[in-house]
Amino acid sequence: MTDRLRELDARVPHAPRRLRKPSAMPIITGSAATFAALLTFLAIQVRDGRDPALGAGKPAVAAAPQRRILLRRIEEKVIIKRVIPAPTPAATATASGAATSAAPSYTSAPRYSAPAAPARVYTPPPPAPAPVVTRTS
Amino acid sequence: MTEHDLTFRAMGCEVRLLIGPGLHQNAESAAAAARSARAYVEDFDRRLSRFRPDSELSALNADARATVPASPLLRAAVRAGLWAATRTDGLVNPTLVGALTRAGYAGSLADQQPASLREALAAAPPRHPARPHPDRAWAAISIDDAAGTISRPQGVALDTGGTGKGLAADAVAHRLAGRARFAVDCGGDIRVGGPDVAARPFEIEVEHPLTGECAHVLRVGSGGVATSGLNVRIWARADGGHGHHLLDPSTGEPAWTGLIGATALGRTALEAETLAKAALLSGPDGARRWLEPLGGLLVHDDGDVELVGPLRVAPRLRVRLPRRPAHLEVAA
Repeated sequence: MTDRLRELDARVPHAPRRLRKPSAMPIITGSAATFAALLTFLAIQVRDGRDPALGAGKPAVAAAPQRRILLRRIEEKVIIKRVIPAPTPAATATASGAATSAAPSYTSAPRYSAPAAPARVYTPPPPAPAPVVTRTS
Repeated sequence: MTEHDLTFRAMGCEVRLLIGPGLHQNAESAAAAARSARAYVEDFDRRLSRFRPDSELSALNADARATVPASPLLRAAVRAGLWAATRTDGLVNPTLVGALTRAGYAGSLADQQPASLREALAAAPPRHPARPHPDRAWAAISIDDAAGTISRPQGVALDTGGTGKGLAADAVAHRLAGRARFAVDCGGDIRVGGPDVAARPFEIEVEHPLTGECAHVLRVGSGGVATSGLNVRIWARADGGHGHHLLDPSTGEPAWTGLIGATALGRTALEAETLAKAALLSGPDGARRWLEPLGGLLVHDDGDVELVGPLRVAPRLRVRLPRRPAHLEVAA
């Protein structure tokens, strides 16, 4: 057995032994794929609001709005003494006079008039009582 | 929540009642309570007026006996006058009927136009504080509740008018004890009360005796407020001078003390009325001593208003901001 091997070995010409340089392509492809996968993962996380850089957990606290201080306010008090009711169609016709009533009518169908909304009567608050006064009696 | 508001004339002045709801479900309405209180005040006036010949007070003064039967109301009114005299050591004196009559105050002046206070001040004698009368006639008056009588020295007539309005306000307040909040104003002698009044005190304006404007606003949680002044019951005399109803007990003449008005706070309207009169009669220096414990307000002859006691306030601090911060908003 040993001889046989020696014989075969002798027949095969021995080339000088060289280390083959590995190709860069797999490395580049693998790195790019890993990077893309990692980037995609992080992008999904950030999109979902789980930014790893910000940490997890705490609910967002809205910043308290800055207090506004009113230095001066001018209030105008309007006292409504008399409420003029909203004009009804009949009242409008009366008020607009003959010109309206003399206007040509192009249809014989009666005009639809929406029922007038009831006029809202403003009830003023009761007047403030007169102040109590101490005076010479 | 507003109070029932009723104003009417009695005791020679305007009486105003502000009565809130009852504290109990079965309490009578505020309007009914006001009607009842009005009837009480009118009865009080009818029985105790010095100007009504048929009043109990007039009957007492006309009675020649040393000891006279008197109703509980009359005894209470005389007791109030004596209390005021004791409290002020005779400065507020209920026995000056004769001097008042001689000074020109023999009848009610309620319907008469008062003389000009400015003219009266210009013509008035030099100012000095009033003093008690040395004879202290009021100290000899005694009240016997068991016997239902009043005893007084011969010739001493009584006037309960000086303390009557305050006493009436307190008496009505006593009847309104079941109300959440109330004010009783008897011509400027005011009593406020009720459990709600501490949280919602009454704002009481003090009328200036010269201008008639509001000189100050008091926020009264409970107790009494009263004002004494020279601007109402004042009249021109035939001799060119002027008289008014606040007499110097030592002279029997109208008192010109340097003050024309005094407003006092008190635990009751009677106390406030007594303190206000004592303050006005004492002049500026003495008035401050009277009003210092409970607070009050003085109006001097020149119209200056002075706050006394707890009403005095520290001067307000002026704070100057270096620059207006950006968050300050100026609204037009």
